[in-house]
Amino acid sequence: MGLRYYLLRRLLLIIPVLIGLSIVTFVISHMIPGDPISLAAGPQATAEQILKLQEEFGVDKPLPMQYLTYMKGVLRGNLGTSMMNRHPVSMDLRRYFPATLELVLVSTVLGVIIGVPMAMAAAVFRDRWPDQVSRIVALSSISMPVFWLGMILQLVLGMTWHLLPISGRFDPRVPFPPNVTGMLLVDSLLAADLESFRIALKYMALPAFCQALFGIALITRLLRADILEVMQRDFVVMARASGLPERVILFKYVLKNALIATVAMLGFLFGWQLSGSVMIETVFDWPGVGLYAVKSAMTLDFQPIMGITLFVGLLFTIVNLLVDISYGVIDPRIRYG
Amino acid sequence: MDNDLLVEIKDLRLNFRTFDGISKVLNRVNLKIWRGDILGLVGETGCGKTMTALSIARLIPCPPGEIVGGEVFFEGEDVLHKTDEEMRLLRAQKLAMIFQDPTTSLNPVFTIGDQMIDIIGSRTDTSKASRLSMLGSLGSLIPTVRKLRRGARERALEMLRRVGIGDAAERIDDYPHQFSGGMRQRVLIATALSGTPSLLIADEPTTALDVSIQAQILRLIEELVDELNLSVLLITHNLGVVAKMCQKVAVMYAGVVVEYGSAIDIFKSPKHPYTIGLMRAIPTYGTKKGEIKGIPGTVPNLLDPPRGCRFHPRCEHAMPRCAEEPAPAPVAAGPDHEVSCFLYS
Repeated sequence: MGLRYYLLRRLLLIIPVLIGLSIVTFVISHMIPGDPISLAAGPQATAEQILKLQEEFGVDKPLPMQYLTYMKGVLRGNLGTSMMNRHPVSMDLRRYFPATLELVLVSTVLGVIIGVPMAMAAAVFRDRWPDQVSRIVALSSISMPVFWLGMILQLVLGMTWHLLPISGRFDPRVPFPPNVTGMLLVDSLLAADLESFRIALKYMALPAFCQALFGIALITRLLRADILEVMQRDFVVMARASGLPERVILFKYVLKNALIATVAMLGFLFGWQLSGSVMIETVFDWPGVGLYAVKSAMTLDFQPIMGITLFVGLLFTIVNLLVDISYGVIDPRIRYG
Repeated sequence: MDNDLLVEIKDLRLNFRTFDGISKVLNRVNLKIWRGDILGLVGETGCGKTMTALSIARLIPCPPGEIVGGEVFFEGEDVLHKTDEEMRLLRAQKLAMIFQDPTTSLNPVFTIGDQMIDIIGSRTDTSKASRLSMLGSLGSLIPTVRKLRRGARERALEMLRRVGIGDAAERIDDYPHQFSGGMRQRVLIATALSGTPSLLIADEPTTALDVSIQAQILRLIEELVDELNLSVLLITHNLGVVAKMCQKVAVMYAGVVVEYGSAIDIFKSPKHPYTIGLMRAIPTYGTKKGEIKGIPGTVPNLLDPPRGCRFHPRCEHAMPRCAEEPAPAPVAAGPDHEVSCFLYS
């Protein structure tokens, strides 16, 4: 009963959050100086053409009316139409989003499989070389500008050594695997096409690595501190006194306690990467939501901006809900309600 | 070596590195635990009681701790020179420990059954023990692990019933926070005694409990000690408990065992000025206001302990040599009664 009620309440709570988000984005994107209509119409447009465009996009009406019209569309799943390329926003989102989701998923997984072992090594060999190495790796990956590192890697690994492709998602000379999820790694596996999978993985390597650095650093530092803290607790002494092997104490008894905060942060990290993939996508010309958002913002095309914000906001709240639920799986003391 | 001697600590010296310098936590500790005895270890907070106990199980965290001298024998074997795996098996098979705070001594994110099964399983070799515990209940898919787990669970249930958790079968899959403080201590006792220990180290087992529960837990420990034929090292502040339960008493002050003897000798004819002070400080019924005497002064800072006898700045019988000569070696003050004081040497 507890969990179901909790879920229902949390899901309902998403509605006011999204309404608030939509109002804020709507107001901000309409306060930006500049006239998107004349940008979209082009420099040679006549006054008549501009008037017609204004009518078409409803920008001649007062702002609250515009908002209501927009929200009516959103409820019907219509996120508006781009002024620049005249595509429905939902269509473009469907095209660009899987690329971003794939990038973020891979980089989050990378963050976990690199960050967690590094944190554990750092905690176990505290103040010895594994700890120092992990400290240097974490600090430098947080403080290095990711676009700069991305370009260096492109230069060295891509242009000099020809190990990895420099930009894009897939080899343009090879046909794409049949589109199912839009995520190339998944689609190529579904089609049992290992060659495509290999290609997609090569294209994924650099952007995912650069995107993962922040998460690696965060997980390493946070989890190291938590492991060290948990290792001081009485139940670790009691486990040692009972003769449990050290590896059981570390991998089972300590890790599960120490992971609680990291899991909470993972949800946050995931959402941050979704909206923060702009930089990576620009550097690596990764055709995802970030690049789409940049292009739309440059042309003051506010319908896609609104659509992206709402969509990412929705995802973020859902991911956070999933994280909150997963707490209960790790920590039995958590009660839903 | 004498077969009746279970534990012998000789001249043990332990330092702790701290930010402020080296803290000389134990200074030539000598202690003997005979088979079948309940030895009470008393002294003020911070005098090294717990560190002495942990050194028997070699559980002192090093660093920051460092054993700089002395020897520890358990059943005639040199504890300080065993390999880690030998030591782990010794803890798993021969030593049982219960701690002060049952709430923090249980892992909050595992059921008590899970924890007990892991610990019961750890009495065997490492690889078997880790396979059993790492896989958790998933391990039941492997027939050998399933058999081990089922056996360990049976043993856990039996021990839980023995310590007075009647509905053990229903409670075993509960988490620690679902038990009361007294119940948790019972769970810890059940866990500690689920092997075949010869020594029980009980570090202030009732300090964190309600007064009404304390007596129950102490009675339970007494029963189990009789039943399993255990020797006990009981660490406590409570001299009443010592008088009731212990045959032998060791009194510690600032990292030194100042007096050791039978409970009767210690209570009836204490020799060391510190012990005498301690006994005078016990309030008894009928004591008038203002009649309880404390020991003047405070516990010394172990970063820079007093030269000579560590008690001399507070001692009413202090002589010049107490401050000059190194701390006195224990001398016999009667049969099985030793005291470290220049008054008797």
